[in-house]
Amino acid sequence: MLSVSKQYLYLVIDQINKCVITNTNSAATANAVSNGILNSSPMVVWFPYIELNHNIIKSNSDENINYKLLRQFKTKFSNAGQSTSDSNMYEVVDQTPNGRTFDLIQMDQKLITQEWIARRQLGNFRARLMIELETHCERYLARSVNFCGDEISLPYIQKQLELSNPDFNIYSPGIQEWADIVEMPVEVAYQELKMKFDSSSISVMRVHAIWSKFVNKFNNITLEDNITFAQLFERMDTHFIFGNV
Amino acid sequence: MKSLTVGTSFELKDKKDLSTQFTDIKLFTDIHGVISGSWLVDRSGATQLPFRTTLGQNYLLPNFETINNLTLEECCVNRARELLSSNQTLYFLYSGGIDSTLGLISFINATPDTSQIIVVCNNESIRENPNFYHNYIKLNFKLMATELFMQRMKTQILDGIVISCEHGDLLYGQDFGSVALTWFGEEYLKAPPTRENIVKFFKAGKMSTLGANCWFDLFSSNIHLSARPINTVYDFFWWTGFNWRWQWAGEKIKLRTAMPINIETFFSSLEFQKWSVNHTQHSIKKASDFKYDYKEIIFNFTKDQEYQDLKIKHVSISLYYLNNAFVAVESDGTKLTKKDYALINYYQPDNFISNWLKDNHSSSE
Repeated sequence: MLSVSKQYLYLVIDQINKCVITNTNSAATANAVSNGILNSSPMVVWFPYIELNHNIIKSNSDENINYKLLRQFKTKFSNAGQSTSDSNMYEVVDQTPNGRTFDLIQMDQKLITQEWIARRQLGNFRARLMIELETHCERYLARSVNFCGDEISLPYIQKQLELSNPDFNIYSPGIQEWADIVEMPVEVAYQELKMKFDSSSISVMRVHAIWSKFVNKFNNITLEDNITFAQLFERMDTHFIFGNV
Repeated sequence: MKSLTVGTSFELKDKKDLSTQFTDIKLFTDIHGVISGSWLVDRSGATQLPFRTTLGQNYLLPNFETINNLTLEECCVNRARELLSSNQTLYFLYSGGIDSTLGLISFINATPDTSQIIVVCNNESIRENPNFYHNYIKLNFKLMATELFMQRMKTQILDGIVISCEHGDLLYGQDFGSVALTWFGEEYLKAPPTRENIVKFFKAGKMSTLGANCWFDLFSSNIHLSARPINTVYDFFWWTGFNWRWQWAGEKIKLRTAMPINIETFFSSLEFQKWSVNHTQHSIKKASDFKYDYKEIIFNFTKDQEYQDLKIKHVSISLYYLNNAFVAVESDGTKLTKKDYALINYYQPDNFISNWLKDNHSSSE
């Protein structure tokens, strides 16, 4: 939709040390990765909040680049009512280095243990899987996008379809108006809208099911399983095209 | 002994040990690089492949002597009338491709009352032939979304007959033919169907030399039963479809339904088959030249010159998108899911490929 901007960092933050385990490219993939890593939370931070003197993107392929997420509260009392839950996973400071609400700073070297590096590697691996999975989903979801205002119009179209009953030649005002604008008989308009609505809705629900299935599957794969990225995605398109055969 | 009517060979990709253990299975697998997914069955019943498969009575190679020679247009209208005479609801699977467009035109030509027909389609169908959708389909037929139809087929017994256009390709010998045209050009299709010429095609499809030779012999083993003289590479390819893939085309949709289904393919009537046997292919210089006769009838109806000149075959599979399927159907109708399916259970050691290996292995290597 027009209201969506992608100028965000989608981070997965360790709940204990408030450091970045990995970052992804969407809220859905950040949630998916976090769901598979105990004691982690997704955090969405508006990109301009953060100084550009970091290498957060490269940290996805280099576990030696590590950051902690900070949030500043300028007065002692301004963090009243806050809690470090999901959506609020950061270290509170009086002043961030950049002076803005959020910032990333280099992680304390003493905290970078082998266990931490392993956690980062798992996070980065899973982030790659989820991003690739989401890319597959988007490709098949695109089949169901027919209008830039779909997100607003589809719920209303559904309601108008439900208010109509072609068996009794009853058509809702919305359907009648649509038919009038398109210059189409109302009964033809009804069945065209219904056909497209059913097709899109069922397709999207199926993609949702595939997404849910593979998020769970990927979150049960560890690096010790030695399954390669290529192996996991070798048959993914077959799955999307032909289902589970 | 359990036997299949339709199966899939995906398992062979996962279980390489089957191919390693049995050389005949390895060679059997070779063909799937060229014919993805098809489950081959010899309509004459004479040639056995490595996995036991029952030939359906309705797929037997017909005796064409008593069948009239009709024009394609006559075949189309007769078939439409035959299906309409059932007086049942007809769920017509419309992909928007050449075959299903010709099928719907046949119904329009056969009857002024199309209320018996529900056209099952989606956005992909419209995109394939937008003029036909806007000018004819939406004004003359009831519609149902493809995805909704496929969902219902899983859970309900439909009150009518499902019409698919699967056999349209096989009347034409298009699949191998169009690939070969791309690889080797028009002259190749007109060349004699010698071992050298056919093996060249299979090897270009990444088959081994052994596999290519074996499959040439296998497809040739019953070619003398063809009612159509096999004089060219194109005729040979026609035979591989008309004889070997006919049952697959009729049965494969049953992998998608949990419930019993009453399904007919539009192009499977004996009249169509007779037409196919007698049909002489027009010159094929480019992909859009295939199915010239089908497109001619469509043009006469729609006057859509662009479609006539440029439309090519497009793989229409949105019917299957994200839709789980069974992997095999046994001859008693039992449908098998992936976890219940083991191809080895249907293995028959005495098959054409294993016997061919005994006779030819050393000389073909």
